[in-house]
This record gives sequence, structure tokens and C-alpha cells, in this order.
Amino acid sequence: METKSPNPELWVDEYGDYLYRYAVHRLRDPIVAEDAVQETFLAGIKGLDGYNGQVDVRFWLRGILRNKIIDHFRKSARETPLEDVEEYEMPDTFLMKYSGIPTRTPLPWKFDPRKSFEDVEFWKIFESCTAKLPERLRQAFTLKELEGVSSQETCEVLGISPNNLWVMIHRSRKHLKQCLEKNWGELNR
Amino acid sequence: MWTCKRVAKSLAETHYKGLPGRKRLGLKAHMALCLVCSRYHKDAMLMQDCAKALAEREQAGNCQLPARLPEDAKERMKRQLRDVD
Ligand SMILES: [Zn+2]
Repeated sequence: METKSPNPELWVDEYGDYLYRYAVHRLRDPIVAEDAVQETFLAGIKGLDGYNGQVDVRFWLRGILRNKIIDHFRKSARETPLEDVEEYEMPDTFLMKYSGIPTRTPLPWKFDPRKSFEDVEFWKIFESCTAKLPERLRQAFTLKELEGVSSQETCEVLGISPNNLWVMIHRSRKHLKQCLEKNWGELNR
Repeated sequence: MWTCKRVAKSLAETHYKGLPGRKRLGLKAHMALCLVCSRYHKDAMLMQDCAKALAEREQAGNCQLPARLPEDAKERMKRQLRDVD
């Protein structure tokens, strides 16, 4: 991809929607997302000297926004302590609930999601399923699985123990599997 | 021999493609004997593949959400960027 020289005057028109979509996805609140994009542009201007032209400006700005999103998760984790695991309402066994150790054999998938990767509709369902995760689970899943943040950093950001994280990741996968089976698998077997 | 606990933990911590070869072997040996873990392993790999594919789509700008930055916000940001200059 051709790298354009950074021209802050054009950033809003060129990258505004792209960054905003990413922010809305991660933060789920249009107002908070707008603020994050605005802060990203400002931080971009202030940090322009640090831009070395090796990546497209779009991805450079996205990287700044990514850090803003992680900061937001960190802040919201401080403000709201971890909900009781009971609230996740998963029909788990005691062992699964407190230590993430599977004790029941999960049912096989009724369909193969990989075969649906080319289908735009599948991703709509997938995105709505991630949006329906309980907030703390969603944050853990987002950092760990979507953003590829290390386990250690995810725990630090969310203020949780490695054991918490491990249970939360299992649980979010289980939620997503159920949601996909219900909303996609049953219609596309 | 790997315990179920160790399997569950390693699947939650690392992307399966990033597991070192030695670990993969340990996992595989356990999985051959334990149906619970082998199903779990499949689920974990599948969700990791989904997450990775979604992240790539997003990065390329292929989000399904038709969200657009509102015009008034754009104007406000443009003004602000000019002021910083
Ligand atoms: Zn096992």
C-alpha cells in the first residue's frame, strides 16, 4: 500500500469513519467512541514527529486509537469491580465456574463457521453475538482474542487474576458458540 | 502427562498457533485420550480463528456496522486540528 505523507487537515475526512467504526465496535458507545477518535487525532498531531512513514497513516492512527481503547477498558475496570461470576448465568458445573476446567463434553458444532467466513451475513451475526456478551466478558474477549493483548497485560488492564481471565475466556467462547448456533447454525446447515 | 487443567489453561492463554512444538505434542497426547478436552480444544481453535478473521476484516475496514462519524463531530474535529496547527 502506498504511504501518504501525513496531512492532518485531511485526516478527518479520510480516516474519520474508519476510526469511528473501530471505536464504536470496541467501546459500544457512540459518544465515548467520538471522544476517543477526537483524542486520537489530537495525539496524532502532537506525536507527528514520531511517525516514521513505515506504515500507512491509517494504521498508525489506528494504533493510537487502540491504546486509547485499552486505557478506556482500564479506567472502566477500576470504576466497576468484577461482577460476580454467578451473574454470567451459564449452566456450568462448579469446577467450570470457579476454575475453568471443563467437566462436561461440549456438544459438537452443528455447522462449521470456517465455511461461512466469506459470508457477510455471518459476520453481522458474529458481531452482534460479541456485542451481546456481558460487558466484562466482552472486554476480556476483545483484548485477548481480537486485539491479541498478552494474558499478563489483559489481567493488568482489567484488574483480574490469571484464573479469572482463564474462566472468562472460556465463558465468552461458550456464549459465542451458543449464540452462533442459535442465530446462524440453525438457518445455514 | 498433561492434566485437563493444564490443557484448559494453555488453551485460554495462548493462541494455538503460537504454542511451541513441545507443548503441542503434550496437548495432542492428552487430546487423543480425553474427549472433553479434545472438544474443548476444537472450540477454542474455532473461536480463535473467528476472532482472528474478524480482526483482519475490521483492520481492512470491512466492518458490518454502517457507523459513520456524525458530520457535526467531523466539523468540530477539523476546527480543533486547525487550532493545534
Ligand atoms: Zn482432558
